[in-house]
Amino acid sequence: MIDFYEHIDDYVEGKLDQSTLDLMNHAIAKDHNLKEAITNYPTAKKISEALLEIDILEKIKSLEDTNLNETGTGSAQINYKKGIAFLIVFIAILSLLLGYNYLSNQKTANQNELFASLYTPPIDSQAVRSIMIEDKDAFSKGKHYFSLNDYSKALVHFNEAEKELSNANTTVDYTKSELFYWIGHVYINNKEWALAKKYFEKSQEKGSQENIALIERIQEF
Amino acid sequence: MQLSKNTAEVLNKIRSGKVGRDEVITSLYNDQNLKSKVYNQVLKRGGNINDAQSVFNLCLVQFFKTVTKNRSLTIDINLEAYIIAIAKNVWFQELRKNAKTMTTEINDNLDVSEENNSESLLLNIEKMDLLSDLLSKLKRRCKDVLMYWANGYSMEEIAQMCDYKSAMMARKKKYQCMKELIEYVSKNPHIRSAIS
Repeated sequence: MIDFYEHIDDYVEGKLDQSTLDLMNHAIAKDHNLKEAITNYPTAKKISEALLEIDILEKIKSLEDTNLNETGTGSAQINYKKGIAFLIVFIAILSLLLGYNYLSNQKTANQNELFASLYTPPIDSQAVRSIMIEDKDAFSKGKHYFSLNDYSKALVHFNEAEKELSNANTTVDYTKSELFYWIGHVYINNKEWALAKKYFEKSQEKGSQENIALIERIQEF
Repeated sequence: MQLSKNTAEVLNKIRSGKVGRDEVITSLYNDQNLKSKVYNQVLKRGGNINDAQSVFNLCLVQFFKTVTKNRSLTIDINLEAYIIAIAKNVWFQELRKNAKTMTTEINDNLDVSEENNSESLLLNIEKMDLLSDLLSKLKRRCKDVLMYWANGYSMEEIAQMCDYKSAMMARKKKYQCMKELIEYVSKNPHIRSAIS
């Protein structure tokens, strides 16, 4: 008994011998399903051939998906790593700033403490506590404001006194050494250590060296 | 694997079965040099990046199909040049199909397809969608046997590639699978009109 379905290939491709071909034609005439199978054979073969294209495309698709995932994951990982790195840098900078601020505050506190414990303000034997100072010279006015702890006004008058000193036409009863000594005290009270030291160095007054030593100790912090 | 490697070796690997074929597909797909050259062909001829991606994929399919189906085919020119020629051809066909342009440049390059003798593709995305139900029903072994048989492999080769004891067993499997497929087509006449 011939299974004609097994011979569809050869039938379609014209490879059957004459006797089998006759039998096949006879069977086709009687069997509607066999006839339909022969009609659909070329489509089925075409689909079979296309299975290769599908297989290749599926592989390419899987590679595309892999690449997309890797790109996505890679990008997410890069962003994550960037975020972590940024956070670490941010924390480091913050720590440095806080540390610097703490040390700076600590240093200032220590300097202030030392200054408060060792500093002795100058004594002015001719101090004028009266509000009637208009007729006084600039140097006296400066010392007056100094005694009131108004260092900015004191400095204005001391600067004016310095100009008076350099003016040959003006006669004054204070020396450069005295003036610089007092200016040094203004700066030391303003915690402007370098300027204070500079003026004390220019002064020959007794006590200048002590203040220079104090400033140097303060600056050691 | 580099394209400069022995071309015959690459072709043999493609023809050796799924493992070898997939290995070469992976290698070519990830070859950035080849990809950029194919992309350039498309971009400099009016295509966009999506067109370039599509052409790259299709030219790979066409290349693998050509090599698999024509097992006596030898490629004398540089493999990269061969694939780029296919890509140009694919893009020109696409341009013609979309009637975007019909320039002399396309006509001048008509010889590309003759030069590389590449197999034209049977399917497009729409047709593939049409087959998705069938593909989900056909078993892997059926797909493999029918695929190799329809692409010119002998029963002896199919038996070896698909781990059947003999060519007779492979033939029997092919017969069963083909019968199943024909029945499916009979029950779904719209597929016949779409594929034919």
